[in-house]
Amino acid sequence: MPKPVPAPSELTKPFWDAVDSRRLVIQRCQGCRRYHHPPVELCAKCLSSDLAFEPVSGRGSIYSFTITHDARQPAFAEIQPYTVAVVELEEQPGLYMLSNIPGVPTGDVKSGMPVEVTFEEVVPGRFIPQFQPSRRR
Amino acid sequence: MSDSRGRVAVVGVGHSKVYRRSDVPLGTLTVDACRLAIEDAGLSAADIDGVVSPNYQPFEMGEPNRDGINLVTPAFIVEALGLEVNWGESVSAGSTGHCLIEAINAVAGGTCNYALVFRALYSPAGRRYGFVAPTTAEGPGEFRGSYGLFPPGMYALFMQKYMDKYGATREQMAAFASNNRQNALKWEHGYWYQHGGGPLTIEDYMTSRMISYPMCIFDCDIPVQGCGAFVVTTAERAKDLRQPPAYVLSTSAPVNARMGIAHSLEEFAAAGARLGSALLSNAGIGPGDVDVANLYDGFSILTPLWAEALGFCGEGEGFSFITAPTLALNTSSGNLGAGRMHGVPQIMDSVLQVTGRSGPRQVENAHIAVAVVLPLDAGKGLVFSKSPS
Ligand SMILES: [Zn+2]
Repeated sequence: MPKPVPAPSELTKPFWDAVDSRRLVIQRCQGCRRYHHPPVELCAKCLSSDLAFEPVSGRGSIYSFTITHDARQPAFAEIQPYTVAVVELEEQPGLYMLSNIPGVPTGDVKSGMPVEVTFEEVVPGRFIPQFQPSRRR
Repeated sequence: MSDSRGRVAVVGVGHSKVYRRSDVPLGTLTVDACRLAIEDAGLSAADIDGVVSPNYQPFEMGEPNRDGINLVTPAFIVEALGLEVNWGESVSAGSTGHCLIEAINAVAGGTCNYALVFRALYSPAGRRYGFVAPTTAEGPGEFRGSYGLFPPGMYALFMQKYMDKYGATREQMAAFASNNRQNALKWEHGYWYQHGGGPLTIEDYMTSRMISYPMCIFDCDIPVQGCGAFVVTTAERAKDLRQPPAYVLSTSAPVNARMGIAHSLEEFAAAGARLGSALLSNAGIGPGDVDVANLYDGFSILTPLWAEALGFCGEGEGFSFITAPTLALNTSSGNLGAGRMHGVPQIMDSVLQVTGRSGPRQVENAHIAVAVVLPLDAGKGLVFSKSPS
């Protein structure tokens, strides 16, 4: 059974369109240069509505993680135990995304681990961002 | 200090029987709890002129709302008890604490004189609680739903971060869970009390089934079906009623900045501290004045974080504190002992403690009790006192 597939809204479509072509973009306020994820309708910091999706490095580190042994949805019960990590992107403190850290055994995931973006095809043509240990030195 | 300190009181409490999974209609259990609370106060249904309840369940069950079956609206109770009310509210995403605060304010403002608050939780027979199979991730779950992060995991992230940051251990949490089970065996409205089960050893905890590492099954509350109810009135009217009043010294229910994908532990703790300092300063007390603290534990990690937020211990000392607390901690046994009653036990035993009605759990000279419910970013807090000042 496939994992739930993201259903973009008008606001979030540019993010998912980029992901489907294996690129990571994050909404950024053109007024105060702050990144917003999930995307917002109006920047609450500077009240600018000039918000654009900009490419980011895809690099970050694991802020925290958990290992799910008791998923409450069949798509995940099939693959447990699995990791869910909060990844902090290097562009901005507190700019978080989720990842299952694919390819790394659950016990080997550690907070602080440097990671970089990759993409998982959930159903044909539809991707989600994932993160794997960074290959750079 | 708040101007309305000690001007409103909780004067009656009532609780239905609690089931792990049951087809007894939730409306029946709610009527039981409400009648008991009204009777406890020495009032009759004709006196009640306000009613408030949360109108949601904590987990998606994949079914439409059925009033009286899987949720109970204030309107249902108005009809069932034949109430004539001047004020009522059905609070979306509200908790027991939130609704009690609404009732306190409605009474203080004179919108009603005797307000009834109830919280009814649904856990039906024959189905796995919260087990659904969505094909899309949308709305609030758009950026989370494809990764298999469920409510236990959201709090396990905080527990892992806390352990990494402060060197706290699962063994410490085991000691807390074990002590808490002793309290559970004295809470007559709880799952463990009503449905058997004995002590919980450290070994039981350490070898139990993992749910979302580092949280095991004993770090999570058990879903139950049941209802708790409260009656609130002014301090003036409370003097003439059957029970000694539990005076409300202060309440707090902050709103915090929007969350992105997740809160950092630091943001989460700061949200709790915001509630804690307002709650205590409005009550005109410090952490050292508190005799009893019922700190929410829908997931175990919340209790040490609340202990820090209220200043009962320092940052990073929460796990040590809950293993050897310096005040009476979670006398109701919380959600972990009572079942997922969403703040009912925490508030109810705080009321019972300061009115000397807590029976086998009674803390000697309990003058001030603090109850905080829900996670730190959505917390609702109340300070109860034996005397109005
Ligand atoms: Zn801005």
